[in-house]
Amino acid sequence: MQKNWQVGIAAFILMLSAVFGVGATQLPADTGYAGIGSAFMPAVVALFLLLVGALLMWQACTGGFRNFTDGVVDLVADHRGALWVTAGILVSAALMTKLGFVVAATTLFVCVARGFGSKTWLRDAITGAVLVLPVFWLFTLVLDVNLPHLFNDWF
Amino acid sequence: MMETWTLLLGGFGTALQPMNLMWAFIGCLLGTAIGVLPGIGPALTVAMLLPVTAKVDPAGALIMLCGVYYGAAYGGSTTSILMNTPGESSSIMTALEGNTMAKYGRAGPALATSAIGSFIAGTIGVVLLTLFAPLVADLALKFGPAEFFSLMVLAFVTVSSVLGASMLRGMVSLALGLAIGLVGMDSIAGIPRYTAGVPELIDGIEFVLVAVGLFAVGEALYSVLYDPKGDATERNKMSSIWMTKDDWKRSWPAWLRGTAIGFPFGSIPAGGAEIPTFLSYSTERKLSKFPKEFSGEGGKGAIEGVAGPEAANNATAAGALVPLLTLGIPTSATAAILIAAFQNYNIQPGPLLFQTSGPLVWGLIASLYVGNVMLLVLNLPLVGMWARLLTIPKPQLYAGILVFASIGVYGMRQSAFDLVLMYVIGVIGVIMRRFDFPVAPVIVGMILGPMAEKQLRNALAIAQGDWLIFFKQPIACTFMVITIAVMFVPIILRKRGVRLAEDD
Amino acid sequence: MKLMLRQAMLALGTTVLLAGSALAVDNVKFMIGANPGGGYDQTGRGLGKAMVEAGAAKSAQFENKGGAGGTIGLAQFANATKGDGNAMIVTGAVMVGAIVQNKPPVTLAQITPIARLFYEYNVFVVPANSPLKSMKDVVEMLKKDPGSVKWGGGSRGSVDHISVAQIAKDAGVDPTKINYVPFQGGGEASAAILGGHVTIGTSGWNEMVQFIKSGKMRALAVTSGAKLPGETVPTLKEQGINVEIGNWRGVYGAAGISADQRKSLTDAVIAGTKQKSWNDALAANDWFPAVLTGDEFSKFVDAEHKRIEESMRAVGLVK
Repeated sequence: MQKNWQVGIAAFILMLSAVFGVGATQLPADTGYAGIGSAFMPAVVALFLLLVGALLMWQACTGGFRNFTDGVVDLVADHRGALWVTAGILVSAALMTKLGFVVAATTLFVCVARGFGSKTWLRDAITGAVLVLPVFWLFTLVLDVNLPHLFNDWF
Repeated sequence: MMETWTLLLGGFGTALQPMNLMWAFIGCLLGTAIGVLPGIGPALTVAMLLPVTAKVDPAGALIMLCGVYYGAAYGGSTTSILMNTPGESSSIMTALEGNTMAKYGRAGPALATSAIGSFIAGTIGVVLLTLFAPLVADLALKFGPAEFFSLMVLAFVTVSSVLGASMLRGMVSLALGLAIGLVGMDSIAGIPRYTAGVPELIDGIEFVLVAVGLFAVGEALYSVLYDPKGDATERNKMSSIWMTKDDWKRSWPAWLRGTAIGFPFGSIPAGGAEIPTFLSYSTERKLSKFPKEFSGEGGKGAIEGVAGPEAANNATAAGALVPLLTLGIPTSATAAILIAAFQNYNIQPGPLLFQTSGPLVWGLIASLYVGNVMLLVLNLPLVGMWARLLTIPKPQLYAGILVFASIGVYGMRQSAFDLVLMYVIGVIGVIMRRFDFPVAPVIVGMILGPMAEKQLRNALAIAQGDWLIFFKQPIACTFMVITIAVMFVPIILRKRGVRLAEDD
Repeated sequence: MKLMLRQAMLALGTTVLLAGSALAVDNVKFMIGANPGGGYDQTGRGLGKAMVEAGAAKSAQFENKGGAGGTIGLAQFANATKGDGNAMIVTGAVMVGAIVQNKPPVTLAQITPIARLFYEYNVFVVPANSPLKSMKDVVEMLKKDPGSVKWGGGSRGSVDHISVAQIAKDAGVDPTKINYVPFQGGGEASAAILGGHVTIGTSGWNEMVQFIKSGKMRALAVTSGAKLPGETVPTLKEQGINVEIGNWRGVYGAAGISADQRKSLTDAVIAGTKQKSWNDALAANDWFPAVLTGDEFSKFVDAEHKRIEESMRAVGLVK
């Protein structure tokens, strides 16, 4: 499991290197008086990615990444909580323009708290709204930033 | 010299009028609030408050706007320390040590050292501004692209101080940041790179989005995945609220060094607060007697790593006023908008400002002294309250952090797509944490990469392709020599049997 | 309660709300395709305020949507305001340049031209200790060795850059051979000029005038057709360089509005430009009024589009 992930990460970096490298060759070659043009920095970054990606791949294939900070290696994931947090962010993004900023952000608050094991959703909803409202007012009424609202300037 | 004092005293006469005190207070309060929220920065706030300048007298309005400017520099550290959510690029370094300290129950001292350090750096900065502004401005003009690029090279070399447990994985993070920084309009050639035809990407990927995604969302997701109930650990146990004697002893030199680094760099055109805060952090890490305490070494957070960068940040804010007032040259987005505020009153900041609007400028400078005191008085009592926030149970704490993160990201461009992007970056942040990749180098690469590229290409265009330019001009050459020294002196010393503190 | 807060806000001055009679338009809504604080923002907010003061609009709202030279704001404006006779967007030479360069799906052709408002002119400056005394000296140096003249200015494709390319072309020098050093924002450019890091610089008159008056820079030429009022700096044309270029700004209305709606919006804008506050803004920013409305404005924009496209092709920015 660990090894597959590590190889995957190294492969991702190598792929990124290829994307930036190929992209660099498509950029105009015009260098003007500087002697280096638009493609110079992308090429440097692509080579840098290639180098670190290759080293990472070598580590992954020969016993895994080195020098871990203590306590990072053996962890067991709890996916249910993460699902709640994910749902909170994505739902609030989707509902932002329909239900307004305050409702969306309060929903996010309740979902994240639920993800971390809170069972008092009503209290969380009130806490969330109390937290969000002053910020909403600061943005919309004082700073004139247009945030989506449910029915009027106040909410 | 005497004349300066008389003028400054006259300035205090203006600044201490009750109405102006009130404007300063409103500005400081608003600035602190804005600084605390990620995403909405001081530049936007000052711009939104610009219409105010139409209704208030010039002195009052400018005093308030400068209060916002200063207050935001104070407030930015709070979210970094408490929530690991740097809202401005200048407070990333603060997040590194400050948040680690907070996790081990020392949020109080971290917040206090940053508030007091900000006060000291801000005040020293204003004193330097009062006494030496014209001199500093002349020096700052000597910085062209070549000098600036040399400085960037030095900043890149010192980046090794944030790389974490494995050099290789730190470099991977840095490379990733450099790659992200490439996306968007190439500011020299004026052509888009790696935008895949998406117009939203032409201006590049927003720094706040990546920082909030990697730091705040990544941390929340990581925590819910691997440690949802971990309340009983050492992490949330609150020890002292106030700084101990030892904290003071370690903060003092860091504050002064941070000021010494921040003020001059703030006054350089095209400067900004990022490089001085990076340099200050690296300096503290190299000089510290307690290298094991730094978060990169798996320590519990070193107070000098908060004190130095925070002082540097605020000294930069004062330094940026030097070219603004004496030359009319803005060195940051906020400063550019302050110039617009001056112009609303037909006042043109620049070489003639002190002659044409002397009393107003001296009033403004005096109000900076007053504002610094005000911000200290405002922020110190809040330290206790902020620190207690961390005793909130984990579900509500992380819920609050994510709500503030998404407010910041959404408020920036009002785009729901950005929230989804923030989540995706957060997932990447989880993978990085899981496999022990440090996240700070991503941000460093993303900020420094485009700046370095721009300065390099302009410097070479001016030198018509001569790469030796960086050694031919005295200031640039000095930075290059320092860079080489930073790279090789420790190696040479080690060969000769001398071990520096950070090597063991 | 809400009213009370609004009043409090008014005292703080964050909203422009004034009652007026015989309103030409109701709530005028401005889209500003740039972040707060810049020239586009000042144009929109200044005009909105003047229209309210003139009684031509009940109130003015502003939305900032910066990015990609204003084309992101333009796309949102065109899609969201179809047929809305109260909506306007601030445009100008910079946005036309961005359209030519980035070829966005939404262009100015889809929305309704209302009025051009003013021009801004650039000035060419050298540091006070420079041996260059006139544009003739610069052109000679350019002809001898194009790379030795380092021109400092705003981003590539900007009015600054195009003016330099046109000067080179007029002097018979290949415009792709100019050594143009782009800086971000006027501040960085003026610092590079003051510090002597570039040979010659160009930027808006308003940004440079303080350095010229204080003797830190020497002005060699302005890009306007005639000398600026009350100033002695010669134009490019007076020095034998056949180049005249300015940065104009104007406003457009929504897509698909009727001829009546277009007329009343135009009248409201014109009423705004007669206000004192607008004229003060013009004077403070060195904006030179050049109001043009109706079909003449449409024709003008078409000509601008062509001119900018040609200039960009000449310097290799557009294929």
